[in-house]
Amino acid sequence: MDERIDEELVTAYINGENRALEILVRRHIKPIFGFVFRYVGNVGDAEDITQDIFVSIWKNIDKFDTSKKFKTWIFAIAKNASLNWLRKKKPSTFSDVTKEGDEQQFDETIEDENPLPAELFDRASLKEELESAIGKLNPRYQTALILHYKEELTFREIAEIENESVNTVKSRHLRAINKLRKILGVDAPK
Amino acid sequence: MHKDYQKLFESFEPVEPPEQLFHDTMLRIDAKKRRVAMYARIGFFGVTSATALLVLAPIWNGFYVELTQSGFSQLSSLIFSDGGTIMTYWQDFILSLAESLPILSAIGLVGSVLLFLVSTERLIRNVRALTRSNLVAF
Repeated sequence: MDERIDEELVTAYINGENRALEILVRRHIKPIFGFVFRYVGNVGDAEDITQDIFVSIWKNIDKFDTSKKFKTWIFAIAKNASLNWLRKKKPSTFSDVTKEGDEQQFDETIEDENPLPAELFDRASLKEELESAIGKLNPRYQTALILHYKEELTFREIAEIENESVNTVKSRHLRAINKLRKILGVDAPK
Repeated sequence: MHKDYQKLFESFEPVEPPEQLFHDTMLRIDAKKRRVAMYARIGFFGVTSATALLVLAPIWNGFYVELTQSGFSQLSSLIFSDGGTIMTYWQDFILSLAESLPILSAIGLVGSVLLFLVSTERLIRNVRALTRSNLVAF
């Protein structure tokens, strides 16, 4: 396992170390595939799009600014590729994905979410319940939650990926949390 | 980041990609690399071939002018008009013939013809390879 961070691997690849690209692909293929799958909803198309994304990463790797986070860059590419695919293949789904709903924008300061009840973590079927609950969310809500909690990206980094303001991402995150709590049967915060 | 939600998402596993996805992705990237290299070679040999063809006419003209001025053609015509003398003094004749040949122009002409032929052959080979790879891709 290579200990180098992504940005170092990018520099190594640009300097001629071919294996560095392989390490980067191996490191990110699973989260990228999972991310794309959430948008397109089937394995075959998610596979094709994932391959296209990595080809695009390879093509543009010399344009990547190594002072920025590689993960943010590739998720932005993945998001655009997924939306482009939806736009071409399923225009109706595309409008559903990009539609935010009529919920109002939150203020700049958003309070922390209420804690989750301890009993939730004791549920035997938590994994399945969570998977199903996330699946019921709008893909943009799924993206906000997965990127923040699973990929450990900050709101600022997610905002960069989504090409939106940090506040929009924060408010979407809070709405996603509220919906998730409802689906999981946990009371929404007051 | 809220600790509770971080803990909750520890239970969340993204969808597993198919086993061969990494391998297929690397193959796609390699294929793309090869195609980019082919395009670069096609560009290079295309330009070389066209340049060689363009310079061929002035080089041929230069060679022809030097050939007629150097007396090479008059000397070589002796082969047909005075074959007996040439057979007697063949060593001197060959030396004179070689001396009268415009060497630089001849090298230039042969060089540009070779350059044209070789680059055209490489150009055709790469275009064929690219066409084949396009057919495979479709």
